[in-house]
Amino acid sequence: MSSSLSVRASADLRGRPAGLLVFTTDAVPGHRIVSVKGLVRGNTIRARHIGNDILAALRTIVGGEISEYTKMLAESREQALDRMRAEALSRGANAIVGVRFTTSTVMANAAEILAYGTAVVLAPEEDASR
Amino acid sequence: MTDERLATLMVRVADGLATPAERRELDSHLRQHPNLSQELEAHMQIKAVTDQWVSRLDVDLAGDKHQAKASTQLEARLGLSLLFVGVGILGGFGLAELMLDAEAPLWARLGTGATLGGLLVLLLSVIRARLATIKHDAYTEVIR
Repeated sequence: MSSSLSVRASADLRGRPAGLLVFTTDAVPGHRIVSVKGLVRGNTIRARHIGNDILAALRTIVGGEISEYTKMLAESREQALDRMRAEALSRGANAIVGVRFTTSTVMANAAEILAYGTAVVLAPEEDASR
Repeated sequence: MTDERLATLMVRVADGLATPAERRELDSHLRQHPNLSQELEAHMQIKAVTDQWVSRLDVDLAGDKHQAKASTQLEARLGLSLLFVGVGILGGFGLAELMLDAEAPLWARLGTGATLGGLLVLLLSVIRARLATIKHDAYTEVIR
C-alpha cells in the first residue's frame, strides 16, 4: 500500500515525458557518457487556492503535517522535473545526470522549484567503445 | 533442501507468515546447519527495520483515509463556504454603507467602486484562465 502512494506521487501523470533516465550522480555505473547535450532546466511556481491557504494556516494551530502545502510542493517538483525532461528530450538526450533542485521565495504561499542537470546520451559500457 | 526453498522459508518465517509445518521444516534444517541461524537472524533484523518504515508511512495512509471521508470533505466545504459568505456579507455591508453614505466624498465612493470593480474583473479573469487549464493540469493528481 505504501508503494502505491509513492507511485501515485510520481508516476501516474498523464502525458509526462517518458523514456528518460534522471540521476543525481554525475556518472552512471555500467554506462558511459557518449555525448553531452548541455544544461537543461525546468521551473515552476505553483499555489493552492485561498481555501487551502486558510486551512493550512489553521493547521499551524494544532501542528502536524500541512498536507495542503506538501501537495503544492510535490506538484511543483513533478512539473519542474517534467519541464527539464522535456527540454532534454528535445535535445536528443536519453538521460540527465547531476540533477539538482533549488527553491526560492518569490511570493508567500507559493512554491517555486527549479530542477536542473546536464542532458547526456548514455550508452552501456560495451557499446560505448564502438 | 534447495537454496530456493530455504530462502522462501526464511522470508516467510521472518515475515511471520510461515505455517507451523514450515516453521518445523526450517527449524529442522537449521539444527543440521547451525551456521544458517545467523542468516535467519539477519532476516529478522531487516524485517524489524522495514516494519518501522511501514509504521512511519501509516501516517500517510491514515491521512489519506481521513481526507477521503465524505464527512471531512463536507466539513471543509461547509466551513469555507460559511467563511466566504460571511466575509462577502461583511464586505458588502461596509461597501454599501460607504457607497450609500451621502456624507462620504464623491471621489472616495468613485475610487472605492473603481478599485472593487477592477479587482472583480481581474478575479474573473484568473478564474477563467484557471478553468481553461485545470483539465490539462496533470499535476493536481500528485499527492506528495
